[in-house]
Amino acid sequence: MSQPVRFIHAADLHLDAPFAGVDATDERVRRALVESTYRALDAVIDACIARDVDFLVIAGDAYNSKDKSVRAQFAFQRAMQRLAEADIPVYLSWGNHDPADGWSAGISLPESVHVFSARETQRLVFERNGASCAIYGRSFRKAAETENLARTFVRDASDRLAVGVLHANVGGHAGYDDYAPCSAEDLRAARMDYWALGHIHKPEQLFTGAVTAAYAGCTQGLDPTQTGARGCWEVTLDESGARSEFITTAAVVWDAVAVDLADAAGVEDVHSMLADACEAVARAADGRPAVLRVELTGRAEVHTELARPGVLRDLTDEVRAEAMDGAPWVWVDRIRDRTRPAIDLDQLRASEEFAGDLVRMADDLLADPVAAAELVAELTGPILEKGGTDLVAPDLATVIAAARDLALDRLLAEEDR
Amino acid sequence: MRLRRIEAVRFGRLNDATLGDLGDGLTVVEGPNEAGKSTFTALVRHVLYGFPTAREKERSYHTAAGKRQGRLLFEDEGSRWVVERTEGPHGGPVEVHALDGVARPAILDEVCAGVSPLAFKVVFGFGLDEMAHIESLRGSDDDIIARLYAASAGLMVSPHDVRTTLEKEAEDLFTVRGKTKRANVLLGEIRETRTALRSLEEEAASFVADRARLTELDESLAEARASRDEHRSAHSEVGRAAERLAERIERIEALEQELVGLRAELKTALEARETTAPDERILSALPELEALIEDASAHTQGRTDLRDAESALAQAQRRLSDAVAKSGRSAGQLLAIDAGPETARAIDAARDDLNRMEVELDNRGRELERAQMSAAENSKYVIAACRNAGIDGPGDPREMLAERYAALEALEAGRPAAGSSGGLDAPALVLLVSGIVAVVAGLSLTEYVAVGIGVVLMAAGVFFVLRRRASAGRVEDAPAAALDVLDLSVAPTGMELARIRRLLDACRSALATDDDATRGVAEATRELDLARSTLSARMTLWDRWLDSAGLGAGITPADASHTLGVVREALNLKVAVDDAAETVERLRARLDSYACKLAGVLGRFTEVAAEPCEDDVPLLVGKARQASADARKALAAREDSERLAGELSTRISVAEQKAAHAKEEATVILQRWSVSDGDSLEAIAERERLTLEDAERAHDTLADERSRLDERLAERTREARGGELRLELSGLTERLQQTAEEYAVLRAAARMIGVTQERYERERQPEVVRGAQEVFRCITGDRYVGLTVPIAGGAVEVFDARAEARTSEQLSRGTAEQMYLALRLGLIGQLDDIGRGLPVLMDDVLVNFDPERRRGSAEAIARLADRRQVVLFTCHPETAELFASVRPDVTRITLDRC
Repeated sequence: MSQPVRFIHAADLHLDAPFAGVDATDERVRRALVESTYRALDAVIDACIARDVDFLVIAGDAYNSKDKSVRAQFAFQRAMQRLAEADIPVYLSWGNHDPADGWSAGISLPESVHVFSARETQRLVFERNGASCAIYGRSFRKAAETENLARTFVRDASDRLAVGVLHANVGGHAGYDDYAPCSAEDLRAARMDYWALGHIHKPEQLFTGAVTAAYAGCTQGLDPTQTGARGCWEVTLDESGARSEFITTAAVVWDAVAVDLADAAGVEDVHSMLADACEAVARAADGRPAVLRVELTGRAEVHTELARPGVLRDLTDEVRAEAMDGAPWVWVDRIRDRTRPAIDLDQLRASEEFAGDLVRMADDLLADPVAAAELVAELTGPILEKGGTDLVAPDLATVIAAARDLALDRLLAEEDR
Repeated sequence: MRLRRIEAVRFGRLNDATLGDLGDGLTVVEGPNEAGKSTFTALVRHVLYGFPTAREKERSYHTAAGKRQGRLLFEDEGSRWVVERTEGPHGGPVEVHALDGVARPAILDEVCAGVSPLAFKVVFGFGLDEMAHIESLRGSDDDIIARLYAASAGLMVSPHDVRTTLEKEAEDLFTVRGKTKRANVLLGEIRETRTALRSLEEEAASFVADRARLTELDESLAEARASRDEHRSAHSEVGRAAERLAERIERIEALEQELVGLRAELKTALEARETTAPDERILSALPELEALIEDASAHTQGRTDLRDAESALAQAQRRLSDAVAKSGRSAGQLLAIDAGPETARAIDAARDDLNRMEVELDNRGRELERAQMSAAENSKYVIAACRNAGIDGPGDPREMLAERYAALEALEAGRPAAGSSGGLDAPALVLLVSGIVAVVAGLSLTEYVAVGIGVVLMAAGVFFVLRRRASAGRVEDAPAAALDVLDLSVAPTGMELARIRRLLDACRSALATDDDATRGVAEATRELDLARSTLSARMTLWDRWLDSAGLGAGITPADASHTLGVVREALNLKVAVDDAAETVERLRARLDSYACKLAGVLGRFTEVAAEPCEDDVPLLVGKARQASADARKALAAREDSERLAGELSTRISVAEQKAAHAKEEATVILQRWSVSDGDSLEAIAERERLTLEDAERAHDTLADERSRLDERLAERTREARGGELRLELSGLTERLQQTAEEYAVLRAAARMIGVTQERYERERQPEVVRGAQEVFRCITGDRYVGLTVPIAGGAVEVFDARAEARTSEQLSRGTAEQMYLALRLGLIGQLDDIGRGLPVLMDDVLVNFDPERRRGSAEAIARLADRRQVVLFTCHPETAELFASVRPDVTRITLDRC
């Protein structure tokens, strides 16, 4: 058996990418988030140099062309320059966020960076110190690339080892644009030893064994839903297969927790439970700052108190300030109250009184998504229209249930309210 | 609980007026106008809820008698309490007194619970004036109908209120045309952020063009820089040429001016050279003269040396005379003595010999004394030894010693032989051996008896052996003469003979030593005599040598040495006197020679004595110095003039060359620039300067533009504002998203309440309205069969048998008042425990009713009185009679006009 090759597989760096769904009003958090994608890039480069790998592959979406961020493209160039100085070649394919026809600041990359063509699948050969490996890759020509690019990958018979670099949605991952769609069978048919994939932001090994296909995931979580570890793979590849080690590179950790308030007797209890949740998140973040989303759940006595105007906001401010005092800090991005009032809805449904009518009407709406959608669209239309395309209509079931609970809460409250 | 009595202490026109006792059910109070019916109704309300303040637009019922005051007497299951209120702040203080039964300080709150002052005024204590208020107040915060309606619908609050509140909260979040609402503000900020982002993106879009522009600028700047450098070089060159030309011209002028001055100085120098010629005689004698002047100090020193030499000569002569006188001899005798080394060695040898001999003589004398002392000591030892040996008394001890030796030998000859006298006794040996054997055998055989026997035998053997040895050696048959000589009375044993011998030997040894000492004394005496004779002979030889050396006999070697030192000193002084005399002569001759030589040289150019005396020499030297100085000065002046003239000639030559060179250079410059003079060249330089300024301006403009562009591009590579704006937009969008959801929830909740309310009103007419509808139907004799009271606060509508709806405005006054009365009765009928202790006070509310409907109303009121206490005031006796006919158990009270 000849000498193995060791390389790092990264993808979806999204340098200077906009963070969706986060409301960072604290300057430290803003600064950390704005810099996080750059720090993650630095971590990838540091790992390449520290681990003295043979080469680096980046499977698309190094940056967002449409953002026209000069800084991102310069930062990428500087990072590539560092690798060039360390004599580590880079094999790069463009993805849907940085397609070949996307906006470019016109910055040239070092010669050690090999950018795969968007016209055809290219075969490049890495050889050094007795180790050799063929690296196949294909860049996106345009953002909405709908061709099955995986089928254009064909292994040459002379290849001792072969790595495929592709930005694609394998198997139609939900929640992601179906660009360069392909199936696992398409990947297997190309007979690559290792597929370095990009596009899906969650790191995942699609299959392992004689052939390995893996998404590196994004190097830095980009929105509150992208919780969990984010980074890149270090891959050691030889004729027997690939062995991978995941390297965490995220500078800021995203996390989300649900806190059941069924046992909370008052706001103080809620405060205490939230503080505990923040501590747990800080511990799990392993020295990194974290952005946390909290959902308060359960049928709770404290629901009524939380529903009072300003109570949840004040509670959020207090918990947020305390969590930011920690080291590392935890930014409580949002505390969403999904608790339900301590009202027996079934009992109300059975009554012939006003509240029973209201519960039944809410049930009717929940059972009729069209009517519910019309209602919510009618109510929120003016805001959504003015807010533009970034806004999405609230979840119908959430709005209807919350409205029902709010109405019941107010109607059935004591008169002293 | 029932209100039993109303007491007006001071209230309006009522003073100490009482109304009572009121019945449990229906009470009709009949009285004429101005009897105080309305005043009592108002008093009940004011005692219950407080007197109105001046700011409240309500009749105040002030009285001149003092503070308003009233009392209500409540009764419940046999107990009675008085609630008394007096005018004061915040409606006036209340006092509660228990007349019978337990104290109930909170009785007022219990009575009024759930009924606001306005609700009481509208629903519980009303007259014709308040009849329409039940409708006009709808939608207000104290919509008593809505409240009571809600309670009947199973709710704690009015759905209308809740809906209104929710819609208001929603409007606080967003309005379509709003600007300050939370969502509107967020929308505005989002627009601004997007605009800023677009601006940044446009800037970024121009980044490539800017980089291309930067490349163009680099090229243009390189050209501009080359042009500027070229013009700068040309300007510099022509400038330097103009400067050089000006400098050359200036230099030529300066040189020509310098030449004029130098030539004048040369002329002056040549004239001075001619006027300063020195005396040639002095110049010819000047070397000798200066040599003599140079020797003048040596001459002066020579005179000093001469005086010192003469003084030294005199001193040496004095010392020689002193030395001769001290020796006591004449100078001739003294100086004739040979003071050479041979004489000194002879004196030293004689002194050494004599000293050694005297020492030898002393040593011999001391040896003789030591020999004599030793002999005396030996004599004492001999006497003691002889005494020990028994030799004492007159006679020669040596003979006596020999006699004793003879006697001793005789006795020793008579001693038995050593073998016989020392032999072993055989029986003793047998005993000893037997004992040993017995002991050994006993020990080996452990026969201790045998051991004991053996020990006894051994002891006996040893005894006999020892006794034999003690008696051995004694002289047998010793001669008596020998014993006498040795002063013995019995024959001695061997040991005694040995002791005698040792004593005799010691004596003999002492005598021998004594003989040796005697011989030593004689020897020492002879040695002493020999030393004395030797010394005497050496002294004789010494005296003879002194005579032969001229030193005179009879002196010691030390004296001879001293005399020899005096001779040597005299000889040395003689040599010093001779040397000093020679020095004096030599110095004197040298001085004379210098004076003659000086006079000779001076005589060549001045009058001086041919043979000057010694004292003239200083004067001559002074003259010589003066002449020499004058000559040197004249000579130097002439040399200075010659040197100056030479230097000036050289400088003139150099200046002429420089001027010629400068003219050549100026010509070259003018020819290089093809001009004839400096002004033309200056004009060319000025033109070049203007051209250079244009080139520099063009270069600086390009450089500035490039620098700004480069900085802007560099800034874009670093700027994080795009990321910050996108994050800001994300935050704003998130906040707006939450606000939109919050808004949707509020609006949806309000909408759901509204829809439910509508459906409820349509499908589930609540009991309160149903009751009012029934009362209204009874009052109107089925003229009107339906009545709706929208929860949302819309107009109350009545329906006739044909379902034709009419609002209150469309009804006659009487019918409208009947509808309002029906509403009140319906509401109060549904209140159950709310305001349970409050009486319903009606002030002539039936006056506008026709008799038929008045009766229907009376019947409805009577039915209410079954559940609630009702007090009806009327000034119409027929009304009182009506109620009495409808309800025979009615309580009737009559009031008189106040």
